[in-house]
Amino acid sequence: MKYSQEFRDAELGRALAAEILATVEPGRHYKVMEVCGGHTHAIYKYGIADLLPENVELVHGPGCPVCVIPMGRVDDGIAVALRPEVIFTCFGDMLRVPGGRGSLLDAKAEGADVRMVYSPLDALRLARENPEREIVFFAVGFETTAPSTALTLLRARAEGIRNFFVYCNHVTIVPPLRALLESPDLRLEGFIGPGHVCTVVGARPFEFLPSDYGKPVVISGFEPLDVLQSVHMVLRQLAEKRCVVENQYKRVVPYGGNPAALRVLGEVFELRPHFEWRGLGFISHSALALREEFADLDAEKRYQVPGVRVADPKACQCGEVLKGVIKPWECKVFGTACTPERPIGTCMVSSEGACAAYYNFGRFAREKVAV
Amino acid sequence: MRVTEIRAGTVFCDGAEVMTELVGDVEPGDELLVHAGVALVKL
Repeated sequence: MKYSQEFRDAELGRALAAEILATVEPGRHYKVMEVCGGHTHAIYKYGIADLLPENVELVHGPGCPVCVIPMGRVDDGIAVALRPEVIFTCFGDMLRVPGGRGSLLDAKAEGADVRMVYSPLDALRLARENPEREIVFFAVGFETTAPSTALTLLRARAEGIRNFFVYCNHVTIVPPLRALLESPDLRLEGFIGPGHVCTVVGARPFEFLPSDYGKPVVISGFEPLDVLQSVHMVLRQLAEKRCVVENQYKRVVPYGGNPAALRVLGEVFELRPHFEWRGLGFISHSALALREEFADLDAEKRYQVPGVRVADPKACQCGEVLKGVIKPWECKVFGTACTPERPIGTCMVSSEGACAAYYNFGRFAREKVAV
Repeated sequence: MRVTEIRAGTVFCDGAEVMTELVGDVEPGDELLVHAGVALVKL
C-alpha cells in the first residue's frame, strides 16, 4: 500500500531509535506531548514508546474529538434523539459516549431512532429519503472533520433540503493547547503536532508554541516511522537549542493548509464565545457554531435542549488523562470499572482515546525494551 | 483512498461517495486523503 507500508519498516525504525538515543542528554527528562489521538493510537498500536529511551516520555494530549465532548452535550443530544419526529445520526464512537443519563446507544435501546453514519453525507441522504422525518447530525471533531460538515450544510442549502439539521460540537485545537500551557500542572518540552488538522489549517497556527511559549513543535504523520522521526526532530531542536515549527508530514501537509477548506469553514461557522471541554472546563473561543445564515439548519435553534452542565463522575479521571497529568493506568477505574465494553470516561470509548489505546494494546506491564 | 468511479459528477472511492470540492478536479486512479467523506488532500 502506497503511503503507509513504506513508513512501517522495522529496520528503519531501529535506526531512528538509535539516533534518538544518541540525541538525548543522559540525566535529562524529556516530556513531549503528542497532541492528536491518532498519534496516541499509533504509539501504542506499534509499540513506539518501547523504542524510546527511559528519559523520553510521551504525554497524551487533548486531540481526541470524542474524548473532549462533555456529558451535558451528550445529554442534550439524547434529548433531541428521543423526539419521535427525529432520526438522530452520529459517528460510531459517539454512540457509546456516556452522558449523565446513559449514552445514545442506551437511548436507541429505549426506542430512539439513532443511526450510525460514516459521514454527514450519509445523514443528508437520509434526509432526502425520509422527507417526513427530521434528520439531525451530531457533528463532532476538530478542524479535520469540520469541512465535511460545512460542505454538507452547503449541499443541503443548495438542494433546498429543509429536514436536515446539525447539532454542532466542532472544536478547535489551538485554545486547549494554550490552556494546557498556562496550567501549572504540566511541564512540557515540545509537541508532536496534529498532522491531519494541519492538512486543513496548515502549520502556521502552531507558530505560537515556539514564539509565545518557547516550545518546539513538529507536525507529524501517523505511521510509526513518522512518529519516531518527529520525536527525533523535537529532541534535535532541543539539543541544538532551536525552537521552531517543523513539518515532518510534508507529503500531505502544505505549510499554509487548504485555503478552500478554510474558506468553507469561514463561510459556515463562527467561533463560540466559550465551550465546555470534558475534564478541561470552559475554554474561550474553542468551538464552532453555525453562522446566523444557517440558523434554519441549526439543531440547537430548532429544538429546545436542556443545556444543563453535568459534572463528570468522581471516579473518572479523564480530565487528568486529557491534560497529560496522569497516565491512563494511574486512573482509579482503568481496566476495572471502566473498560471499552462499559466505559465510564470518554478516553475509554474511542480508538483515539488514550485509555482505550492502552487497554487494547496491552500496555499494562509498561515494560521497556532496552534499545 | 483511490478514486474508483466518477458518475454524473459524483466521485466514488471504493463505492463510497466523496466530496472533492476542496481538492479540485480528480480522475479515476487519483489517491486522496479522505476524512468523514471529504477529500482534504490530493496525494
